[in-house]
Amino acid sequence: MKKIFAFVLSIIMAAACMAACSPSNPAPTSDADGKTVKVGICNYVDDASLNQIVENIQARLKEIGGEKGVAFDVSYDNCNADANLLTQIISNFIADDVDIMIGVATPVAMAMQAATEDNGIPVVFAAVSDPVGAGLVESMEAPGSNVTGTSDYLDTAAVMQLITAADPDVKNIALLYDIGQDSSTAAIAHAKEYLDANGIAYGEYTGTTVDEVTLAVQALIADGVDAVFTPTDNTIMKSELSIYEMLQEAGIPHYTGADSFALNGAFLGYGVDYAALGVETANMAASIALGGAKPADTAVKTFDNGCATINTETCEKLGFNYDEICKAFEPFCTKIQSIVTAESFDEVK
Amino acid sequence: MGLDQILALLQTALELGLISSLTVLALFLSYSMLNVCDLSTDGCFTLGAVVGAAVAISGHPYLSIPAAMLAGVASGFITAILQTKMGVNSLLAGIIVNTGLYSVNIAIMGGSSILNMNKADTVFTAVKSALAKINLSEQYKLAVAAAAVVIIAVLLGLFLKTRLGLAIRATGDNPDMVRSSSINPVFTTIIGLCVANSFTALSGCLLAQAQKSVNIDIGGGMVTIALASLLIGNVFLGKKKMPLRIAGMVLGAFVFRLVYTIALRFNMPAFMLKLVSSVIVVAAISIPYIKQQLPLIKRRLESRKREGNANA
Amino acid sequence: MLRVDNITKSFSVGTETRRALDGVSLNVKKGDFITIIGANGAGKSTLFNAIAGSFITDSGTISLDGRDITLMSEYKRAHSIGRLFQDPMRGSAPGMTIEENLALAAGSGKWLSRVSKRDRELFREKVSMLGMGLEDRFDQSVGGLSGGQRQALTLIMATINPPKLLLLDEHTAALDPGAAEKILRVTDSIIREHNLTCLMITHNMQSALELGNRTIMMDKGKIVTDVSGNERAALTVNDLLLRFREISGKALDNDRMLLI
Repeated sequence: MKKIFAFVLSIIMAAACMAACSPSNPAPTSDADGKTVKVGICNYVDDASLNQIVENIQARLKEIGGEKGVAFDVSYDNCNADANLLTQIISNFIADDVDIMIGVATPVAMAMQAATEDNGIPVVFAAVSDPVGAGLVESMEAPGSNVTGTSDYLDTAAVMQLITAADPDVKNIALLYDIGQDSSTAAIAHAKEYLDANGIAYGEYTGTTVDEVTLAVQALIADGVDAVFTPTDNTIMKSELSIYEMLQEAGIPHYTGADSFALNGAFLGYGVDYAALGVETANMAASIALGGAKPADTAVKTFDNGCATINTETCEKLGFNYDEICKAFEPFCTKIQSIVTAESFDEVK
Repeated sequence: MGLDQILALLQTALELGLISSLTVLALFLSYSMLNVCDLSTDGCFTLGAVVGAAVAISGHPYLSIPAAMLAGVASGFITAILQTKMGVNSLLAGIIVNTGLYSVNIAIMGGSSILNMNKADTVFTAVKSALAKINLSEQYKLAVAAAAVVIIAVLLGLFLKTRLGLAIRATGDNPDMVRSSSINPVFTTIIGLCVANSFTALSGCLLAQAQKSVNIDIGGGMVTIALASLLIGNVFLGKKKMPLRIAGMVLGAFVFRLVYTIALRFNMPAFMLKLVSSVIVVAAISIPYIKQQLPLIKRRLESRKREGNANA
Repeated sequence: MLRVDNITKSFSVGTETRRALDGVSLNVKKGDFITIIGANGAGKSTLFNAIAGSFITDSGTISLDGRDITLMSEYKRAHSIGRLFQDPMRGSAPGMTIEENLALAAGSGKWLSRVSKRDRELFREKVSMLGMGLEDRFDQSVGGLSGGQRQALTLIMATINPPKLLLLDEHTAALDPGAAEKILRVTDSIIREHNLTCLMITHNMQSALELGNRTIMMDKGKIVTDVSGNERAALTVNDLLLRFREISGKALDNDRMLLI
């Protein structure tokens, strides 16, 4: 009996705690009229690309706030791939009466979609590779409900062209990815189509943890492939720092779908500029929260994948001449930039 | 912060707590009763989620529940056979099945790693429309979760009083005695693990349908959370009779979620929550233990003081 | 009732192999009450394990009431064979109540049946026979009972459905003299009441000669002496010692055996 009583008492105290506290994130930068817009951002896991997006979103929102004289009260959390936690974080956002939610990566976007079915809080997703395939929007042009956002859809064929441009004799390409990653599924399928159409052999090497990826890379080196391709795969992203030296020593270039891979030592990152993606996401969120735009009519924004980021250190180790490579890639890229190996983008700026 | 919002938060904690309490009940059966540490829980939870989602997406929301439970039975059966007939140690058997289930789960998802049920009918949506008539549609998740838990808990309580249930309890307590009573402990272990895993799979199925999506990580860490909830529940109602013990399990799961909710309100970053849950479990177990030891500690301190005075 | 025919069993401990049972043959008639004595390591408990089915013998046959049980698993044999161990904790499940333990042992009913009122009455009747007051504590967990009480409970559990054969492996050895005497008395009355066939291992030479109708001595995995009837009635403890020395060629210097 005593224990039950103690328990009931603690529930009441818990409720009181919840009433008493309100999220105390960095105080909203209130300028001028002091209209406050509450934003809830949730990230899926910690990795360079996703973090880059979040940083840019927050920075851009602050800018917009300054321009428009509005204060953005941003709550940020990271669920570390825990589904239950994700639900609780989102429910926390709703309890705080956020005006808009931003979900980074597909699982978060899907959970937010489910949670806002009834209350209609607008959801802006960032970095979802295939919004239509994931059921988040009805079509890219007209999402049709309260969910819209930015997509880092990867133009796989373009990356393949870069591979053949750099090495016209390429015979065997390794497809390195995590079969459990939603972001890789469509891209790998397109890659296979392209390679089949062009008569280039390929092999699939997969891993679900950093250890398994390392083993997969050892296997592909032993198989003597000419190049490796990875789409925007979070697992391989986490493993890049562990594998890039092995690939450098074996003389195998690693072509990837995001510049954060190149940051961590891959030969080439080709695809979306995640900083730009972050900025656009913030723009979209602001226009919905402030400008009265409706998510149902706001088209999902994709990005011209044209930016190639080459890691000069790796380039050298692989025996390529940087200028020759740039010339070979020029027809296929809108922009070529170089980068050196580091742990975060801050170090190389 | 208004009462509405507190209630909403409590409701989410209760919904999640109820759904995961099914796994806690499963572990209650396999760990507390049968004395088997079943490490296949994570994989089985995901299996239930994936099978339930696949069946719901193909248009049969109600069938998803028995389908998920049957999948759980199959998983439990294999785990049981490994440890009773194939000479594999019970911890290892759970790990082996867990690893194998990863591949099976991805295969069921058709090679992709995420399934979206937003457009599909689920058990929850069906109940939602039914409840709309009596104006309780906000509570539909709670209703389904509560109904599931009540049914399973009652069935479990009744089951544990039957001859088979007693035999399963005895198997974890004293397998020799089970043999002397002319019952085959292999049989009871198999039944016990099958039933327990069917609960776990049901739990996964409900979570997936409640959040309308499934991804391969959905079961990650479930066994730890469930064991922690089990221990918390034990602290409150561990020594009572069976029906109260079962209620204690559900309570433990809810308390666990509640702790997370409070921590999130205090703005604790999500990665700290695992540390918080460890602290809670330690507190739940050690505080009563230390309270028990307190008289002895006091006596030791006093005697030391007396010795100190005598020597001074 | 029980026919054991030239059974052998070897165990390997590390690199050595030890012959625990070396060609043991035994013919037990219905109603026999046989006491078994021998030095430690003679093979007495191993013989019981072989009969009960804790392991399957390497060779030889065992048949119970005409049925060949040589290859039958232990739990199946438990239908007809009841067993008590020296360790009073082994026979009952400590986490469950007295009533639940009895329900399992009684073995009636299908899998999904619950304890009926009639069952409870039966249990109460049997347990009150012990005179220990346990019939009023049916809802208490067995873990809280003393060694003597648990052994008494195990005795009831083993005989609630009278078995064809009862194996008692020094079942009073771990109890204090008062409890031991009580248990022996109850054992005796149950055996008499149901005319049970019983094998009892004991270290008490006096009891070995006083109880039952037949005494067996084992040494090094073999049966070395088998006395009954008048021959047995005339034996004293000293006689047994002498006989043992003759057969095994060494003095029986196990102190415990000499204590009365």
